[in-house]
Amino acid sequence: MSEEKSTVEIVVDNVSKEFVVDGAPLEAIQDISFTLPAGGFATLVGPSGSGKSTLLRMLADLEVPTSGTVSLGGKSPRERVRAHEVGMGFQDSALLPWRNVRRNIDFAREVAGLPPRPELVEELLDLVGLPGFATARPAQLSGGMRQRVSLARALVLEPRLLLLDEPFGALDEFTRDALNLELQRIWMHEAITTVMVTHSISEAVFLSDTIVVMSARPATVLALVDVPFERPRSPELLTSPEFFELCASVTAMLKASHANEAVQNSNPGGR
Amino acid sequence: MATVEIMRTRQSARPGPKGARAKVSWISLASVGGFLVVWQVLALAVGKDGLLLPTPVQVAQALVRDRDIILSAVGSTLITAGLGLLLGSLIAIVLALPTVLVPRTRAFVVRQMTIFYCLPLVTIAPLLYLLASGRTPQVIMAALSVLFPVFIALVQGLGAHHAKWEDLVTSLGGGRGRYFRSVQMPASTREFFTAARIAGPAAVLGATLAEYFGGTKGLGVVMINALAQLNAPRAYALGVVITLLSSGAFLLVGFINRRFFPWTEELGNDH
Repeated sequence: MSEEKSTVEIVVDNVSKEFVVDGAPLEAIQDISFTLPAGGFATLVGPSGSGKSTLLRMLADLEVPTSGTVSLGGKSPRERVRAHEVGMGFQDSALLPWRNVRRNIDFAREVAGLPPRPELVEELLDLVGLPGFATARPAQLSGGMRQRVSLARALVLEPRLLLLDEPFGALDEFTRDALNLELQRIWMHEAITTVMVTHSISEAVFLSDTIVVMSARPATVLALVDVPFERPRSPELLTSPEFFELCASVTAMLKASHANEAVQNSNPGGR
Repeated sequence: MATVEIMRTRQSARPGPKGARAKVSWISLASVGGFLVVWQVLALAVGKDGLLLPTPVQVAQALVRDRDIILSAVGSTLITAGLGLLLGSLIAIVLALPTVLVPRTRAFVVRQMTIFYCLPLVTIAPLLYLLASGRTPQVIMAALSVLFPVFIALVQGLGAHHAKWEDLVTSLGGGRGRYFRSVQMPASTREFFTAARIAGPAAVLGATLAEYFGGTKGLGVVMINALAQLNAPRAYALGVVITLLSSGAFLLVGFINRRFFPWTEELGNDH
């Protein structure tokens, strides 16, 4: 129990998710199982609409599996969320425009019913590279800066699990690369299990210990790819042959799955 | 600033080359001047000693000469308008809350309110004097003028669905009540102020209209007396004063909005 105090292992066991769209059932996720070690950085990659976000939302108890279970260090996502142990970052940062940066970060502890931690907020502003921006309003910040605030807001809970839903998806490539470096630094500093959804394969390879490669709908796990590069990873890694090779092999997996999908779909559908 | 603000609203109501002038205040000054010149020429052409159409100069003289009569009436009208604004807003809140808390009632209540709003105030005013006396009918008229715009704004503002902030609150362990208090209520500030800008002038005009139909005090009473005495300059002077009060209410609300809730006017707020 004591080692669990810092962070959690994620066990996804036979999880399926079905949505009902216009009265017809739609299978989004089909019987997925995998385990992610405590303290690791994992990414979920796959074609858009493949259920990556749905899977992440199940970890945050924003969706409930139709069947199967998710275990976060032996507890259910609901128990972890209720205990304020899950920090979440969203694609468009989801900052409240009527609150300044500091009050946006405070918001997490307010809603969680935890006492405010002003000194921790200051510390986090430094950590995410926004010292001196405490009183700025979200509208005065760039997209990248808003994501940094969003990250600080997730971390102010001192969570055991950090979930990021395409946090840098809307940013330009340079900002994204810079923020990936920062995210690595922050993650190494916090040493906390992190799961991030992305559609950028290079981002996934750069950041991850483990890449969960997912197929198109209904989503299955095509492979769990271990990324061997040493940390801290530097920007030079992005131009190394090993890096390209790994990116290419992940891309190939996705393409092969996509091609299969196309064949499967064309057979029953064709005359 | 003041002129620009008014011009901006006119601009949106009447698009076209006139709107492009909005920010050049000297042009708006010149157009007011031109308007006065045309008015003066027209009034002199009509003649009859200003009985039908007094000149701007006659109106200005009436403003100065009758200032005591006008000022005493202004106080009464402003109190009526203020009370009406308060009453109308309170009723709007009482009616809007159930539509937000129990969304099923929304369509019904909005439909009833719309039908009610389609009744012209002019037909309601005489009836009110049958039912009540003194200031009461006037306050009710002012309240009725305010009620609908504020109600609609609150229904739209409070009822707006903010999926990402709902997810945020849920992921922090917050429930429906927290979402309403910390997201839906503050998020509706923008809509509320849009309505309040209309509601201020509407209250002044509603109060005046009610006084016109049967009050004993206020600008509407002085106006109907002036017309009965064929005192056209005074009637016009009262028109000028009522216009100033209405735009004053409009500008005051705008000032409060900008000064205390600047985020509602900032672009780039993801809403």
